[in-house]
Amino acid sequence: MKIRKVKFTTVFALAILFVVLLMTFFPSIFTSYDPLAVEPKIKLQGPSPEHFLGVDEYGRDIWCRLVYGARPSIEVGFGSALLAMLVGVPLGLIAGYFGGWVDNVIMRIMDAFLSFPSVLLAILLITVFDPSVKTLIFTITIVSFPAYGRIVRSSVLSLKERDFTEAARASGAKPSYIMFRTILPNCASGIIVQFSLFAASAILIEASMSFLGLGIQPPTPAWGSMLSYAKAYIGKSMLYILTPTIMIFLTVLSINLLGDALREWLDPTRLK
Amino acid sequence: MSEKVLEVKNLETHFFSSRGVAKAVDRVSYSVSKGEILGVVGESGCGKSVTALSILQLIQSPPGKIVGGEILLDGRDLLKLSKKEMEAVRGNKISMIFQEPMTSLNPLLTVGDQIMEPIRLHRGLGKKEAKTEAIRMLEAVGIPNAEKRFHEYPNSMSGGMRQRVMIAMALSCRPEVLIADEPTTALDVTIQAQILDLMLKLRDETGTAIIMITHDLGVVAEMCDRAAVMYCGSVVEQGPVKEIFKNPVHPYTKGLIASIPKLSDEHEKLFNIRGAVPNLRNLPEGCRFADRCDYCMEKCRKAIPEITTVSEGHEVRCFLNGGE
Repeated sequence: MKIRKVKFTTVFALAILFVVLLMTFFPSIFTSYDPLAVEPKIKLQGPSPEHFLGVDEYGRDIWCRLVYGARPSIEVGFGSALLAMLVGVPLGLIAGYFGGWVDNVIMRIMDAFLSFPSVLLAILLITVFDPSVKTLIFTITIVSFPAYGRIVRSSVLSLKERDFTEAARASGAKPSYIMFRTILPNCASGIIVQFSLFAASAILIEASMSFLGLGIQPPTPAWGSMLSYAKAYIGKSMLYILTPTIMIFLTVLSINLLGDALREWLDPTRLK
Repeated sequence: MSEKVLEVKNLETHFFSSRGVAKAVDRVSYSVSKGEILGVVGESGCGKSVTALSILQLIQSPPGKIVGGEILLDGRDLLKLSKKEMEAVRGNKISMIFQEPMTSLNPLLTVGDQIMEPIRLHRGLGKKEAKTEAIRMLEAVGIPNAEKRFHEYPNSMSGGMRQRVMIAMALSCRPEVLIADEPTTALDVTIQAQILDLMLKLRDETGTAIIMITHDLGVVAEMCDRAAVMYCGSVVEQGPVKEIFKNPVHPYTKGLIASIPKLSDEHEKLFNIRGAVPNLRNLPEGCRFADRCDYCMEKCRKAIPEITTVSEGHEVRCFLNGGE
């Protein structure tokens, strides 16, 4: 097999995600500060040799808080995209494959979930349960699994009429084989693209929730809540508000780029 | 006559829709014996493929439903089997190859995986044995470099190659009956000949009975032992191929044979059967061919003729051969 030409954007996305994942799991590599250590004397100080991005309104190191802030974003983003996939994909597969009343019941339930405005539903759920990473993952899963279900269902509907599915049936394959070996792999590229879109949008929802004070609670650092506090000091410290924005932007962008690259890479009909 | 492997008796498959009932298969009877090739001919939409799919019970239901008849495989009625038992018949006792080799293979599984599947499922072989068997099958259908091809995806193969793979898959469990639904229609002429030769060769080796669905009378003349001519959901004439070509009785069969282009008579207009196939949802009361028939009599409009015998093994559904 020839070595594939890897696009620059893919390398870029991989590099960014690698760094963000390192920040999530090994934050101490990047900083020796404590994200919660308060030093009121130097509050809102600009870049200095000790704090190269400066400090926030409590004198906490901004770089350190950015590094530690990666964790909730990544956990919520990937956690909810994964959970929504685990719930939505089987439901869509079953609805599309069996059709009839099974399809009707599953799809009407999904429609019911889709009929709520997603952010409002999220706010409602968070006010009922305590705001935490778990609640956020649960909430975002609830608002996004129906979309997975629909995407999978629609591809199943067309795939189950295809010649190769018919041929598999004619060779005596069992329904489980047809569902998981014939149909599901052919939905995979759609699911992967959807996963990347959802992970990215889940990170955005997490940031918005934290920004609104409904997500990660202070003093735990999170990009969204950092933005929310920084907006009060926008005139004094541009770096304070810009840096979490850039982190969110780069992470979301990389995930999307990677999703595209994965889809291309997994397509067996691509030219080798 | 040797024993019949598969016998279809008075099979009826109807499609129900809000606009009415379409009798796609209406009292079709035919049979094949071991090692025999039966050609099923007829124009598009005459029920050839639906009959074949009915045999395997692969009709989409709803709207389709088998409403009557028997399908006997070694004397056992397939219509009385449970879903599970039927799964064990498909691909094992009866297998099928389709018209479109380009789309009949799953693009995401290697050719090897796909051939191994029925072998493991029906013959209960382990992975290693199934692989050896699959490679043996690929070699048997004339695929060079079988070992290497085993690991390739369908997209790196041509149509002819893929049809060979389909045949390998279909024959991998040594079925008693192979249904080939226009296996060469999508291939170009030289490949067609190769595939037909291959099927003949495999038939001689394995003794599999073949039901060859086609609209090409040339293929029938070349390959088949017997032929069944279908029109509008029913078999109008069947018998030994030589009989059918030498002594056709039904006006539709005569028309089909007359419309084969001949190289000898140059510049002559090609014969065609006048009129068009009636709508399956709104069939005439009598013989379905009546409107297009040059020999149409009064009684043809009133009742559907019963099957009558012309000579040993040669049957026809037409009043021209007598009957009331």
